[in-house]
Amino acid sequence: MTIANKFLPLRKGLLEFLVLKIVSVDKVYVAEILARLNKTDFATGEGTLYPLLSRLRRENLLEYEWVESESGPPRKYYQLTENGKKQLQELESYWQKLGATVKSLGGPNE
Amino acid sequence: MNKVVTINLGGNAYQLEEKAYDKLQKYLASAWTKLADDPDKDEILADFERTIAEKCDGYLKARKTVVTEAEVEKIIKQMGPVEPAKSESSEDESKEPESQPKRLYTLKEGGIIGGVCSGLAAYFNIDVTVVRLIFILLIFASAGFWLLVYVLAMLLLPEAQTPEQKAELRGEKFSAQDVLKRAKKKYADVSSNEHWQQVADQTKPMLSRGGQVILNIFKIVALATAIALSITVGLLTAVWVGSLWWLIFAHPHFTDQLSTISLWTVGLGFTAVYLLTVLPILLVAYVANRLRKADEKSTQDGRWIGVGGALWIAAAALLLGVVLTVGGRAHEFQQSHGYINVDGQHNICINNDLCNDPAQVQSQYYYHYENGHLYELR
Repeated sequence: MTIANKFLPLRKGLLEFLVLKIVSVDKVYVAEILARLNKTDFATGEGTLYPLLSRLRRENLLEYEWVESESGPPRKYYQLTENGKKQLQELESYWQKLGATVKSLGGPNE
Repeated sequence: MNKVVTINLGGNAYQLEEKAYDKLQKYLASAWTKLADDPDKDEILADFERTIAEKCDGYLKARKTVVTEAEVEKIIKQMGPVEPAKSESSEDESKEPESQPKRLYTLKEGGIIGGVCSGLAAYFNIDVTVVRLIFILLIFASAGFWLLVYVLAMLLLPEAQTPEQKAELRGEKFSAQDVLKRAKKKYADVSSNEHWQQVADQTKPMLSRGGQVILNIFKIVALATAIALSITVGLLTAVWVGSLWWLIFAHPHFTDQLSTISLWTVGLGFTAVYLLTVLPILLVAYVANRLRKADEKSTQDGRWIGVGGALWIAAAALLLGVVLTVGGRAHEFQQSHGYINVDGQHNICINNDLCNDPAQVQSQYYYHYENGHLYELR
């Protein structure tokens, strides 16, 4: 089992957090979200992303609007709702807490 | 030269090689099944179609109007496997345990003989050992009738083979997630050397210490039962062999109306009775013994039980034949001799003309039966 595999469930669970982070910066469409993720360890495909986005929209964390594109079909551009922003803040602070815990455990200044 | 299929993706027409179309079709169909539980299934599939359309656009030029199989393969690879988004929020979870209508199947995995008990156990969601215990008690209490119920259930119930059927048996909703879970689990099981041990462990999930004690007592009882029944079978066999020897060497003479029946018929009758009693006892002893060693798996079970069952049915037919023959001969005798021999000593006359014929007289006493009284004729 590789190191990356050991964290597979963790990475899967973090995907929602990261997608919210990416969407929080700017209105984006799926290809852009993927382009940003695919540079990292969190590379994924539309097969995973669309169901996730649709769930986040159902949970009222983000919304989308249709934008015509010069080439091809119109695209869905996603952005955070007020709810989504609040959730992202909570996730951020929780993630920091987790990070701090990981750092401090086993360290000298416990 | 490849055939080309024209499809509609997100409102535009695209031309695909036939094989490319097949692959795409398969991908979308699997997406559809995997997302069966997703309330936004239709929208997500529309999203997929638009994405595929966009990606196809990337491969098309003015002089290249058809998307090839290799290109579709690339597109599918890029999109990755479809993963349904699991909901963490509690409101969605409450909706999740939607129960499906249950259906009873036999379940071979974890089963010992026909999987009837393990199927019932899965259906009612109780420990399979409890079901077996109940079944054995019922078989004893009903003098074997429930054995027939078991055999009928084994023959008539379909076997749960596909994961869908197994989910249906437990009344679970069958989703793509389950398939993946089961597939992974199965892989882990098979890749382990102690595959059967694991399967056996799964069949007795989390027995408490009390449960373990009961299981041990149960095993001892099963062993004692198996031994006691084996001894019974041995005694019955001795009786059967002894009776055949008696027929062959003692040449017994039967009462008048049975005297025309061949000793072969009687021997066959004995044999049929012997098989009819011994086979069910053997089956119970065998089951008791298998229950004791439920962890081990034997693939021979079904065949032996099939042979035993066939033999039992043959014995039943044989006994019926013997009884009919004996009855027919006795009836013929009564018709031609005019009396019925009751106990070797006393004859009851049913036809005065024949009874009084000295040529027919073989026994000492003749009676005429009337109004509940026997009247001596001579």
